[in-house]
Amino acid sequence: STADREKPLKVEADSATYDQKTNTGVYTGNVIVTQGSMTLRSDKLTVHQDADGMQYSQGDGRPVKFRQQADDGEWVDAEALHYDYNQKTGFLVLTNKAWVRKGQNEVFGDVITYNLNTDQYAATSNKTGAGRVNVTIVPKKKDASAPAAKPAATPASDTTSEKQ
Amino acid sequence: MNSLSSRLLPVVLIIFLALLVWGLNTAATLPALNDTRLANEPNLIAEHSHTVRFNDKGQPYQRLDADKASHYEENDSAWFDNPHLVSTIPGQPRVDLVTTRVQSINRGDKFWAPDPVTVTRQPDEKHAEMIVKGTQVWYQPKPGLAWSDAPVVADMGNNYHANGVGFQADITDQTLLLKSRVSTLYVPAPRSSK
Repeated sequence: STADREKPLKVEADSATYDQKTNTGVYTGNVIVTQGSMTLRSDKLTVHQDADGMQYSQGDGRPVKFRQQADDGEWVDAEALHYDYNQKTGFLVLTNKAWVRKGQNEVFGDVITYNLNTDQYAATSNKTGAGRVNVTIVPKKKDASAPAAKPAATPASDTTSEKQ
Repeated sequence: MNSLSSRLLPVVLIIFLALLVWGLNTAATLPALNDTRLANEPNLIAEHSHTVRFNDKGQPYQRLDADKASHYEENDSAWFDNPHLVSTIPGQPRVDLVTTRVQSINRGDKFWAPDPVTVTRQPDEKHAEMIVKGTQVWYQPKPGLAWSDAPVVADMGNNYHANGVGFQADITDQTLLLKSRVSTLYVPAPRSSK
């Protein structure tokens, strides 16, 4: 969820180097990132922080695995061989064998750009990749217990109600 | 009889004098102090020592205060009790190393701190203070390297905390390598509400 970004970010790995001049950390081997409900696993991760404290990270994995609970409570799962994340824009860009699933909706593509602020994602394919974008959207089932729709109100009563 | 005694007397006197000189000389010579100091014993001990090193421009770049300093010939090394080592290499952030004992090797070219040690790199205009706590730490003031293979904890300001097993810090280059079992925690600064 968007609130995750205010939470402490924990990174575990086999080894890490940190360069204070550029405020950049490079983590290598079994990298696990956790921040609030978000979990990300990769082989390598580079995190940079700008003067405003905004974080930019990128990583490679076989694949990189990402999981986070969206604001509506549904879980978002994503995978790709490479990812870029920009906290300022809230964009997570998955590159190379990219896949995102939210609830039962799925998207496959070469590049998937997922906007963590708006929960929207755009998938594109490139000439060198599989060449196709594949989207599966499962309509939400109507809730069987919901009451049947009420008959339309008679016009006389509509106008009156609008006047009140 | 007279001629015999007049001839013998000088010889006797010379012999007597020779014996006297030898006796006095023996008495005056202190008993030979065979060198009983073992190789691993200090050849110099100083209490409340305060050592400063200067670079070729005459600027102090390293100060070492200690309750006691014991110097050993081997490796031209010295052990310092309760030392506080301050490195103020011009152009670099000041670094303080505090521990219970440290060994300086080759006249301070390298330091070895076997016990728990705290290395503090002072903040500069852009960076927060960095505090590294570890044990079995090696430290080379020039070129500004500190390293260990033991567990280590590093904190940079209030936002960045890291721990691992084994580290290498390059103070000049301001880089920190954590060798294994790394865990870092970044606490975002609370966003100022607009």
